[in-house]
Amino acid sequence: MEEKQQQWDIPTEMTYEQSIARLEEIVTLLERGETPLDQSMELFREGIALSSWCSEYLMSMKEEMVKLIDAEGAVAPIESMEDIHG
Amino acid sequence: MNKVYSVLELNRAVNELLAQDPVLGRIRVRGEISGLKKYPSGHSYFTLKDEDAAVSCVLFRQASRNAPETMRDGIKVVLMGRPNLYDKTGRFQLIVDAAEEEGLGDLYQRFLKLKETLEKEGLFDPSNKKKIPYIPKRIVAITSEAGAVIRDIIHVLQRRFPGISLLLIPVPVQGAGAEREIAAAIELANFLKLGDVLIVGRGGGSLLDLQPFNEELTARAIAASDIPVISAVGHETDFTLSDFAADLRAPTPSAAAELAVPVKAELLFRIEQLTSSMEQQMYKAIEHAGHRLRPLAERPVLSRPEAIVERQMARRELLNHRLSSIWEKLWAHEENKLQSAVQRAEQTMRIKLERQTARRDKSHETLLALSPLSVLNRGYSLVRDKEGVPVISAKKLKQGQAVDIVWHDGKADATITKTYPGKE
Repeated sequence: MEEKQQQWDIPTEMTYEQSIARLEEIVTLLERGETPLDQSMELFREGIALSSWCSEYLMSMKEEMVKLIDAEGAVAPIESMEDIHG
Repeated sequence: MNKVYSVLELNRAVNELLAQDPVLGRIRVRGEISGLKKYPSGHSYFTLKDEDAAVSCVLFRQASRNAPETMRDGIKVVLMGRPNLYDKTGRFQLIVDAAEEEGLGDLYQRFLKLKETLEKEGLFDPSNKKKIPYIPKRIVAITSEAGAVIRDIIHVLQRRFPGISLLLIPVPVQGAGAEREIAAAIELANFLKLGDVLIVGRGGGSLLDLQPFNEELTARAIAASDIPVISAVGHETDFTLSDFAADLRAPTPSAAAELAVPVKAELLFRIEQLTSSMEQQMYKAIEHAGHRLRPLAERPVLSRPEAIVERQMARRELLNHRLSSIWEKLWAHEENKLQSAVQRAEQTMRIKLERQTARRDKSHETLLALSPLSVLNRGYSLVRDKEGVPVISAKKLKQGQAVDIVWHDGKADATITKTYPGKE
């Protein structure tokens, strides 16, 4: 992950929200069509990197983790909905 | 005493008696509701009971608005009503004019007072509200392990953002002392940094049930939490101090889960949209650049680079041509000069030559007179050996020698047959 982020040139301190905001900004800039071609190309590259990073980020949240914490502060996973008394 | 009453007359007489009684005519009764039945007509029937007794009650449609919406089995109420015998059956009942949940008055007064105090303290200040993370890394739910609330939260989270991490800190959410456990759970979550958003709440219930969320302890713990708190207490109409203290109030626990996470599928779709519109724009930009480029590319200099060479060659040719024509002109001029020089020289030469010729002719004639050939003209002939040397002496000749005999108009080969030296 670390390596990929460097490769994509995404500042690691950037949150998902910031990334998507920057991506939106890039699309707007490109839509305005005022940037010179080589600069557009740069923006496009950055946008693609952000887009990959964002979807990767969302998809990486895969581990289903519903857990229960007990009185002693110990955490135990809840295996199924049946573990929740209803 | 002799009068015989009908049953109806009896019931009506008792009713009249009851109605006229200064105490019974309008009485407040405390008890718990059970067997509540609501009819489409709008009337409700139930039994009010306490540990020792029970009484049938009727709440007519017109009086319903004076009763809490939360009227249901099990809640403790104080009823205002009129005791009555139902004419037709003689059944004793209480006609309810108004009802209120027991203790509500007191609790509500306390609530208002506490709310004012905390508000003055700035506990509910909007400037203290923390931002709920856009996509939390882990959600901590502080609610009952039992019941629909946590199930609803899990369902909503799974639907909206599959894979989100949820931690449940089970706490009692009603009854005496529940607020202490709720507050402790909030502190624990902060101390152990268990997540980046807290959902604190419970399902709907009576005001008494919601009381732990109206406690000062709970409100303070929520306000003090470094982790943003979404409160989700009861129904949409219930407002608790927890709600005011929280960073975000959700009308219901399900709504809290909805506020806690965006819909993952929508986010992915948005990314896809942005990516594709970015690609489209890039495509357009390149195409646009192409539009500018094409006419340029079609210009001969780029489309037929050899044209440049050709043009250069043509130019060279032209220069050559011009050069050679200049050369020719120069040449012609020089030639002219030369020619006239030659002509002049020739003329001079000719004149000289003519003069010379004239002189020579004259000499020639003189010479001719001296020439042996002119002697020949007079009938003499000349004998020459084969080397062309004139034979001037007979002695020089040998028998058999070939000689030429030359006349003025020709010659003949001859062979010496015999020589006769000496004078003739």
